[in-house]
Amino acid sequence: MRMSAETTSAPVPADPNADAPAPRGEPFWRMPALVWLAAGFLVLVALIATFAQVLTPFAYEDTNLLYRLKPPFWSPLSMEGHVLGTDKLGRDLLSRLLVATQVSIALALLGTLIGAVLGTALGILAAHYGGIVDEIVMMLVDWQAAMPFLIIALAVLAFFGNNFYLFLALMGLAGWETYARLTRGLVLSAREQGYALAVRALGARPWRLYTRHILPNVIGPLIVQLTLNFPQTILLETSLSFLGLGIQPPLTSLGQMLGEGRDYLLTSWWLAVIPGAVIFITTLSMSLFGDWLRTRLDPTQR
Amino acid sequence: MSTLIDIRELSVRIDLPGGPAYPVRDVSLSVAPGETLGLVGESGCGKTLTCLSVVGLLGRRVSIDGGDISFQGAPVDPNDPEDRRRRSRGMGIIFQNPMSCLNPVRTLGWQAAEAYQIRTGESRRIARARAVELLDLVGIPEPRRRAADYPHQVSGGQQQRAMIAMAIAGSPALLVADEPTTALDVTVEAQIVELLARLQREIGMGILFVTHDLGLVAEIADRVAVMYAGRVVELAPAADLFARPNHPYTRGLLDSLPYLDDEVERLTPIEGKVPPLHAMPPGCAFAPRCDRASDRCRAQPALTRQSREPGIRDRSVACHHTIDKTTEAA
Repeated sequence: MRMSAETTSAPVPADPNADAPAPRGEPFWRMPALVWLAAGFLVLVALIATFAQVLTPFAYEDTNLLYRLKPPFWSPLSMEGHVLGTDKLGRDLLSRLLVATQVSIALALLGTLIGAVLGTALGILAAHYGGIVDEIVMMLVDWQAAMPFLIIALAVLAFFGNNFYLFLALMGLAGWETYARLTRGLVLSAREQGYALAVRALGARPWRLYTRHILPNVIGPLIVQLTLNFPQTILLETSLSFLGLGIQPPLTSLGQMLGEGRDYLLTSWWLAVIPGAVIFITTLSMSLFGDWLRTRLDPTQR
Repeated sequence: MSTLIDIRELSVRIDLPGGPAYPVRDVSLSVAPGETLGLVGESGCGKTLTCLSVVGLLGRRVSIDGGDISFQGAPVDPNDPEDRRRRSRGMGIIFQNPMSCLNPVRTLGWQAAEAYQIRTGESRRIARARAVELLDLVGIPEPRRRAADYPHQVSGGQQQRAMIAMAIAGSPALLVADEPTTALDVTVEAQIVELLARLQREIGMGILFVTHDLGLVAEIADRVAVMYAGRVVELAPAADLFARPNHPYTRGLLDSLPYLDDEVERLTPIEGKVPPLHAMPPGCAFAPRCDRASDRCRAQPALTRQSREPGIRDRSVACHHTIDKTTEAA
């Protein structure tokens, strides 16, 4: 927590001419240009993910075998209307890209949230009960951290067959252990703070203590973890879809587009490169923004 | 005389890797309604653990090892969280450091309202209105505006006032004040002490006031218990204790205090230091530092005995060689 003589002393009338730094650190618009770019791109992705159905010039699953593998707009062979060309079945690449972005982002977002809620809840349980509960949760955390999750996901999908909810559940299970470990540590130290003791002294039940006092105090690092975990989930989704075990046709996702485009890399390279670039720039932007957020929220790095 | 809280031979155990330690041993105390009991002693003598036992907030490796506590006539079950919650409606506690004891992400008004809501079960709306009244009651100026302030926006004294507002929300019968003024400067300390005295008159609550400041205790306590190395060595009405200390440790404490009207150049400190928890001597814990110690003191601890002085009730001491010969062990 930031504390200075100004903030702890009795409130004095603010001097409008004082050229003092803002009390809560740098204002957010003073972020570096690169972070601005990243944030801008993320906003664009968020808009696309929200309004993909409205933005698509064609239905993403409409095939037209007469116009297969048309190149994008810069080529003299490109077709009017199909800005990014068409794929092997003559489907509009731009429309597919927009829908794929929506599917991938939604999956990654839901998966990340499931993982965050699950991990945070387990971390709180471990910190609250200690003893055997703590041992079991931390054992699961270690187990999860030691196993390459992609292999587990492949095994589960190959064994049980693909289904959207199973796939989503796997996304959620991908990163929970980092939240659990982080939350457990944060809660353990917050529990020993005077305010936690004071609330317990009032006779508050644990539910109230955790949801209304401790969680609001430790939420900062968890949000940062969320932004760092999000690109990983996107990559997991795209990896599985690339391998054909994720999103199944006719629905599409960025990874699936990449996988389909791979077959035409020598003749129609844009089919793979364009979705690949979207994955790359989205995850990079998210990481850049998350890093900046962490530095900003962490007082020791200021 | 009815007692609010009655502690009988309380012992607290800490499980350490090297075996259990007993930072509080056979402590007996009581507080009557409207009374202030001062609990004094050096750092680490078990004052705070005694308080935490009373409110039921001992940590994970710390447990009550023996003795009985009864609150408002009902025995206390230290292992039952429901019982602790029932008790907490009748008890408020103020801690030493107000800054760390207020939730940094909640406003003062929110926290006072919550305290009231937990204690009384009233609705959020009523609690919010009561919170402003509480902040007003503890002397926070402009309570309506301060209610929207966060803890870091107000001074240490105001933080402690807000802490007190939380502790007295719902008018508990007992207030446990664990060194409430140690983190504050002297003028603020005087204000807080005055505030506690006023609240005691208005609400009629009993106060267990823990401090290591003898001057402060002389000012506010009706009775004083002196703790040393986990035991109560002397318990007496405040005036008697300061006029005629009966335990060598109490006298040592008083001799180490400066007085305005004394001409002494140097104060008399108590030589040596408190024995560590894991190496308590078999006899009286104060014996190694005591100029009256005999072989008997080093062999066995002195039991607490009531004073046999005529006219003085409620005075007890645990020493083989008390200063006042009428209470000396036979």
